[in-house]
Amino acid sequence: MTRRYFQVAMVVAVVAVLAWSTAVSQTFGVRKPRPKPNEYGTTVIDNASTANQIAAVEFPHWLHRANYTCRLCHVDIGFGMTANETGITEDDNRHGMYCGTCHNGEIAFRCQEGKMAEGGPRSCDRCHSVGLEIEPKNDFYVFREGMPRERFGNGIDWVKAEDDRLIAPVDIIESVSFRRPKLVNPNDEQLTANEITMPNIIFSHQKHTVWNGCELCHPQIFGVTKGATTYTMQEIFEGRFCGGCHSKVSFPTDDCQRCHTEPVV
Amino acid sequence: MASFRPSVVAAAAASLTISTVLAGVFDLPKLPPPDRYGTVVIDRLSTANNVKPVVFSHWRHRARYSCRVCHFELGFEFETNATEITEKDNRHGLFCGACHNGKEAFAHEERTCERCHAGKVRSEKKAFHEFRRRLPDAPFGNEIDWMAAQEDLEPRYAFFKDEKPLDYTTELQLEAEWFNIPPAVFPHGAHVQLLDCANCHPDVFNIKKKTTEHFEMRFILEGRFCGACHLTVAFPLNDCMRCHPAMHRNP
Repeated sequence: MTRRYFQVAMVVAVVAVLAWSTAVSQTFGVRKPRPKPNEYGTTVIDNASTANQIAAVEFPHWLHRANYTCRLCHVDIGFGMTANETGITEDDNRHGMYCGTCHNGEIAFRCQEGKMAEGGPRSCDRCHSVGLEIEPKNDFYVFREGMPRERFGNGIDWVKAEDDRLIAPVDIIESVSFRRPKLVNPNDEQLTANEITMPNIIFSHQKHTVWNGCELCHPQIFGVTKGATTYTMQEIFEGRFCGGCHSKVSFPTDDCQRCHTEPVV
Repeated sequence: MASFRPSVVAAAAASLTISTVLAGVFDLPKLPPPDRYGTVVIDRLSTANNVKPVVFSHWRHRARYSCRVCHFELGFEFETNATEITEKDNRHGLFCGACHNGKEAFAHEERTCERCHAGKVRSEKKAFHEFRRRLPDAPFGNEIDWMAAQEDLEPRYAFFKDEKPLDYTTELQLEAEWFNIPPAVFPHGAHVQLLDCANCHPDVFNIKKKTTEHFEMRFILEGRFCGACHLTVAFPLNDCMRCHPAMHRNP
């Protein structure tokens, strides 16, 4: 009987030590590293690339948003809001869909055989560049030099950059967009924080509709009936609701006081 | 030998293992002298590029700026060498370069290299004691009560914007995992003076009450949770009663 107790005791001890060491090897209780300004909003797209022995695509949002509105790609052209959910194929691009809407040799450089890395014409690996040492044509630091500064994300105040006419993002491409009237003076929304003493939020429709229209957020992410969509900060941190853009491409949720602006009285 | 029961041996072995493990876990790291507490050597690329590593002294910086300015606004991580600082970044006004530009602080140029790229931690006793003289005492770390010293030092809360600390003073009572250990008290009010919400939430601590997993002393001692700051820069864990106020020293 005592032998049996001994065995049980040993098993328990071994399991306890194992549980201890596994817990130690996990990542918790530490900050996740913040992406650098030049890497913020850079998305790796790898639907089928590496499976087909092609480098994955490194998509820099900063370069594209300097020239086009969010809405143009995410509504009119049809890109999803999460990397790899769109299912883009080379065939699509060559037929003028997705990236191929612009990367056709007319609006932007086109999809062309040959690799820069092998001395060929600029083409495939200008986008399919993950893991390759490709010197990008557009240097982030040079671009940022003349832009109004912001402390988070790309370190650029994109709203001010447009107000100052340093950028003029295109909202319409004739082949894919249809012209519609702009929303004029939409209302601000007051959102009440759940946590006591946490400042409330004033959501500016004005600032959001400039690049997003109505359709990027409504009705899928946020319903249109007032107060019907409820959400928590935790869900936003997990990439839902505001977190669909904020923390991925637009300024991160780190910047609490940029949204929680209204002191509670 | 017949009286040597295996169960007793097992119990003895188990208790020895546990006490050895715990002794290891609850060993508080040895504290450097007060003038070097919080001094870190940053060497991500320096030595590899034949440049001396950077010696960064927290006390000099926190005397003027809140933790938040560097660790929130400028994007420095809490862990040494985890931030991918490059010379190019600094020269473009990021990281150290946000202040070390010749305006806010001495510039990043040839003749000043060694002011930061000093190579080794050296004693700063003279300058430190001169600085510390007029400030309130604390038992550990820099032996300065930085919270009380705030009134005198007035470290800058925000660098980029005109912001003020959030008026958020909720105190949390954290029940200890161990029997007989009184709860820790966490004052949000003291922390928001120097930090931003995002410094701790949601990565280090979850925001939903009581959902932070593995929040235990042994992990804090590994530099997780409170240990991200309270091992190396903020007052060290040796000051048990400062967090567990109901704990008493043996008379």
